Amino acid sequence: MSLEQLIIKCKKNNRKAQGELYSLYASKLFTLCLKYSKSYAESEDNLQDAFVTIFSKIKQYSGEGSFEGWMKRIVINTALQCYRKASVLDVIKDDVLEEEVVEVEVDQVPLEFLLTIIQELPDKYRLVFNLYVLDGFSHKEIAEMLNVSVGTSKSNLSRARGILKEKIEENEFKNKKTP
Amino acid sequence: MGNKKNIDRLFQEQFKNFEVSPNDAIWENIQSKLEEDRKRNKKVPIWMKISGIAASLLLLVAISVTFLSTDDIKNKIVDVSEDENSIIKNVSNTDTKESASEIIVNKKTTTPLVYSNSSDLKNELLEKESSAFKNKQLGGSEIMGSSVVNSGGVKVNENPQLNKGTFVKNDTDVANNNTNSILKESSFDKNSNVLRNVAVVQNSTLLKTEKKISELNTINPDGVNVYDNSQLNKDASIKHGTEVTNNITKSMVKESSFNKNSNVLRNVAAVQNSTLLKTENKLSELSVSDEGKIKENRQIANNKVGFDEGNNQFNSSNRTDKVMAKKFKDGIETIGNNKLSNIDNNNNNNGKENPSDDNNENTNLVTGNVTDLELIENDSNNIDSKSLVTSSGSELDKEKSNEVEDSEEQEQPVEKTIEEAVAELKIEEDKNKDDDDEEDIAFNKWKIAPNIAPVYYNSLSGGSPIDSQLAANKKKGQLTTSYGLGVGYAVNKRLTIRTGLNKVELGYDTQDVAINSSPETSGGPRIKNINLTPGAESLNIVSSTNFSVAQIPSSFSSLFDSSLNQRFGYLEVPLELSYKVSDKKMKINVIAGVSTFFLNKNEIYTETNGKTTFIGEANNLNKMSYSTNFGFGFNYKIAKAFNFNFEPMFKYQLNAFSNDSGNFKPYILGVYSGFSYKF
Repeated sequence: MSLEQLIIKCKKNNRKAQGELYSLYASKLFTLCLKYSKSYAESEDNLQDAFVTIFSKIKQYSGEGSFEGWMKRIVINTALQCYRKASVLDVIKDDVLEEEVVEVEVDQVPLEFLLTIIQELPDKYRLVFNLYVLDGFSHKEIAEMLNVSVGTSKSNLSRARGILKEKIEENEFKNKKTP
Repeated sequence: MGNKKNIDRLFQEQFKNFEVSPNDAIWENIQSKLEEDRKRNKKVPIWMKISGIAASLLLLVAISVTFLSTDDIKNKIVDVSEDENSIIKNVSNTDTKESASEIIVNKKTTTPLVYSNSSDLKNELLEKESSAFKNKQLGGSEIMGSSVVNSGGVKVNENPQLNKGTFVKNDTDVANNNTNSILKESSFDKNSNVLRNVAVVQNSTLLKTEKKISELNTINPDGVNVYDNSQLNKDASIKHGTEVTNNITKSMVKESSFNKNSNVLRNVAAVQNSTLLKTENKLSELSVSDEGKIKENRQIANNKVGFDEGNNQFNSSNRTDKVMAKKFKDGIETIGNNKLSNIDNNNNNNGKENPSDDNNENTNLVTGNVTDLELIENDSNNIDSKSLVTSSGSELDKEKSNEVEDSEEQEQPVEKTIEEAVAELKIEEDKNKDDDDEEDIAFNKWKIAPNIAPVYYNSLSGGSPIDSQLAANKKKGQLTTSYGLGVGYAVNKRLTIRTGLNKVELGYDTQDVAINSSPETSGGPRIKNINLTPGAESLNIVSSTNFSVAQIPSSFSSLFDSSLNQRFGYLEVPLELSYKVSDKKMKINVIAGVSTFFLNKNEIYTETNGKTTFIGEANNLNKMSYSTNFGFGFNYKIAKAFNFNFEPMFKYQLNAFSNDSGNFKPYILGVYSGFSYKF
């Protein structure tokens, strides 16, 4: 069954088709959830909410643009939703930092470690870092999505990079200490 | 030592192909959530839909109320005209100039429309009065002069002819202007009212003129003088009346319906006649003897010719005019008689009392005060009575005396006639208004009718739409809703073709069903007409009526007392004929037709211990099916063009199920109610 057929069936609320669609995209979208969430449990909640939203709003998908992109957007929005609700994004230091290239000296950093340090980032830093670095949104888009200024987005990104660099280097240092 | 690496790049590369499969439980959670949403959606929208429909109905009612208020305004206009009439009635009862000005003041306080009329009328009134006065003085003195020399005769009659011409012209012009300006200003509906007012008011003016004339008659015992003046004035007023009527008739014919026309005209006729009768009364008081008969007769003949001309004018108009003309002719005849008597009286006076000195006296008296006038009036009356006594027994005289009696008797009824005419007019106009309403509605061929109905779904025979093995099970039809919008086109007064679009939700429950979801018994009999959903594939559904309680396998446990709830929905497009059997305020229609149903919802649930689970859909429901419809429609008129509809309908479904429906013959019973708007 092609994706188009699957979408049509999902639009008719066909449970079988919904199941198929889920199994096709669950892993990809779950990874996305993991990056945007603080914990595994939170990612699971987000994934669940996102899929419910996807199935209930699938009728609104016009067929224009990539379906995966459309779903990703829903997942990200779902993830952002809880932070918008919690209004944690209000605490903002608006001192704009120069955009700089942050480099780290590393051989191999395990993925699990990277995911962990992303999740450990403060919410606003994590969201901006994910949106900008991993999902390719511009600062302008991020500013709109998070309802902050472009400057805030940039400064948050810069701080996120700094924190991540510190943690990676710290990890490297630890690894070297315990060969 | 590792390489220096851009931290962004590091993350991007690492996460590029990173995928983590979520826990399987998540899908289950999603499924149950979706199910919950579906149920919630199913319940909430019905409320929303109902409230939405209620809101739209409220809106319709609000609109209808607005329409009703427009009718109120119309009534107000009628009220104003009634006021006018009452005022005019007062005019006919009073003689003084002051009352006339009072009327004008009153009119000013009523409506602007009437105000503009009244100002015109005022002018007319003043002009008329002044011209009348002028006539009297000029014509009077001249004729007096000539009468002294010629002692009455043909010459005397010539002068007034001239005066008459100018007078009539004046008057008619004013009347024309008045009517025309009003016609220009007023719209169709108001026309009749305004015209009626004009007619009545003008008549009152006539009345006034007549009274003046009669005053003059009494003032001037000089026969020729008085005769001339009254003669020409009367002519003028009659002609004036004719012109007014003509104007009214023409404009009315142009702009209003026949009924209204006759109404107004009848009124005019009635009032005019009464006015004329009044004059007759006054004049006939003076009638005495038959001296100079030949001369007068000739005069009468002349007048009659004049009137006949007027009649011809009428005849050249329409049918209504003919009626008018007839009525008018009656009036003319009376007037003719009056003239006769008047002339007689004048001549009598002329002959009896020596004219020359008296003339001078009377001319002065005209400018004198009212008491003097009254005195003289009394005098002349005395003379009249004397003359009456002394009048000879000729045929003409007999007629005249009869006339006097008749007119005296008629004086009272005259007032009544005006009132009656007004009352009659009001009644008939109301009637006409109703008729108009009816016509309007008949003209509105299209109607739009939103409706909502509780619908009940059941089968005429046994059988089961799901499986023949469930045919004997207890079943329950569900009460659900249908709502939509209907459109109707009236082919004629009774027959209407209607169609529309309705959303119908139907429900049918099969009870006493055993459901088993354990995989071990999956080899058992499956239900034929259900496509089970992925989550419910292992379900086994059997009728629990097939076996006794003892036989129930343990695996079925508590699930044996379940029910299968079938929920399906259609978009219905009816095509029906509605025939009106009764056409009163409550209209009764017989409705018959067919409906095409398009399936848009097809779900089957199991209900066990109050817990409902979606298990799949029926595979034997046709995507498109038909029904034959029959029912009755009760329409209650709430306002012009607005009806409340109440329609119990029976719809027998023809091919709802494709196969294996176990002789299932479904029908839908619905009581559709709503409002319809005709346009």
